[in-house]
Amino acid sequence: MLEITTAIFLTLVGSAFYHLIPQGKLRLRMGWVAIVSFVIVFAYYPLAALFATGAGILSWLLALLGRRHAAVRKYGPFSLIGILLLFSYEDIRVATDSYSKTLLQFGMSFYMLRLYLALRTAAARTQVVRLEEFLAIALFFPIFPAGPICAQEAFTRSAVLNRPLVQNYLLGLLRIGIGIFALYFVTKVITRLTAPLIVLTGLDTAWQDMGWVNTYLVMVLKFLFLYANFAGYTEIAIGLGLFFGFQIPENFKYPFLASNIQNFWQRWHLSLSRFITTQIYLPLMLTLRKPRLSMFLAFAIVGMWHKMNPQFLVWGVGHGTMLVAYMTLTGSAVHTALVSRIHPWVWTVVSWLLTMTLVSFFSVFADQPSLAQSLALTRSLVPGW
Amino acid sequence: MIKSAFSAFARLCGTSEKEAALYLVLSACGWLFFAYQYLYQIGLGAAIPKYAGY
Repeated sequence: MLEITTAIFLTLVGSAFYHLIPQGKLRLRMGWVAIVSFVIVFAYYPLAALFATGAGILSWLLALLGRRHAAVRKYGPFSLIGILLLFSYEDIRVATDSYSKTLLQFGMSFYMLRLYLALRTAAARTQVVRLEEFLAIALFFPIFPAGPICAQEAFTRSAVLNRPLVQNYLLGLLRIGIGIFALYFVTKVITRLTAPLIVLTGLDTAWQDMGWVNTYLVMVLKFLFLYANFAGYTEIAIGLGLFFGFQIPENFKYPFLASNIQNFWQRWHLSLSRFITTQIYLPLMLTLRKPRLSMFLAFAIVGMWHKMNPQFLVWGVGHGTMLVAYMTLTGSAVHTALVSRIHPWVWTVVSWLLTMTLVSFFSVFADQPSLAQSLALTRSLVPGW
Repeated sequence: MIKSAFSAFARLCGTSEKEAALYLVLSACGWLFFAYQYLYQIGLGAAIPKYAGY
């Protein structure tokens, strides 16, 4: 709780000075945002701040070169994948303990996506993107650990919006309150509910020692925990962004109301969903001309982007397969026959249950510390296996 | 009066009135929880019943 208090305090101070800088001095404002962000990220994860700044400057130089050389413009953004790979491997000791290492890995994964977007946008723009503007969006501390992934143009556009300060601060406080509720209260309630159902061996879940009913319930609760954690964090990030007047995009739209996998991705992690569509799926589609294969490959790639391990590959392949199955079955003869015979309410409930079960399963599968643990979860879900 | 003020609040949030009401309730809960936890962490919570863990 003290971490969020510090973050709110530092943002209030940082944003107060930001608003003292005249609106016309955009370069100065952006420079201030970059400095404040660097200091705050450095205070939490020093290595992340240093690596991020280094990668940011490198990307900015690539963007400048990309304006003159088509090859750099085309292939330059892929150099970021190398840096991402560096952070994804388990045996690279870049942090002192596993918790901060995980945070660093995830932070850098999101950071690389933002840099990738910023680099592509900057290389294509007619005006030269200045270093302070580039670093301000890349390093902006509320979105540093886990997004949302926002495009540079939208960020800069919202920075020059002439909205009343009081409105931004009030809305910011409102969103931060929702974030605190989800991140600190709801997660504690879920932990409390999970405790009597779960069997632990050390710090790991002993899935093999739990019945399939308990395994199912724990799996769903763990997914709810993930949602409360991620959505709460996003609300706080949006609220802190509003203190500066930045409109950070929404990331969730009631994902638990989704009744099919396509609808789920229209409600869950919207900024990543947009990134997958515009930066991976569409280019693959233009090259391969096969929508199903492109969708499958896009999600497999995103799985590996999350973390380079077999569990996340299964997550990506699983989501890709579900979407391909949905694309294939919707409108097919089998689908039409089923829909005509089953009551719409029953169909909706079954479809919702299936969607929630599968997304919970793949998320918890990916979240396990080892593939053996993930397989134990799978076995435990099947009665008598 | 209250309704029009609430409509203005919903417009400010850019949401429907129902969603704005949900925002308001959740946010109030969040800030109350924050205040409650914060009082304990800075050592001023002796007079408040101990937080039960959730």
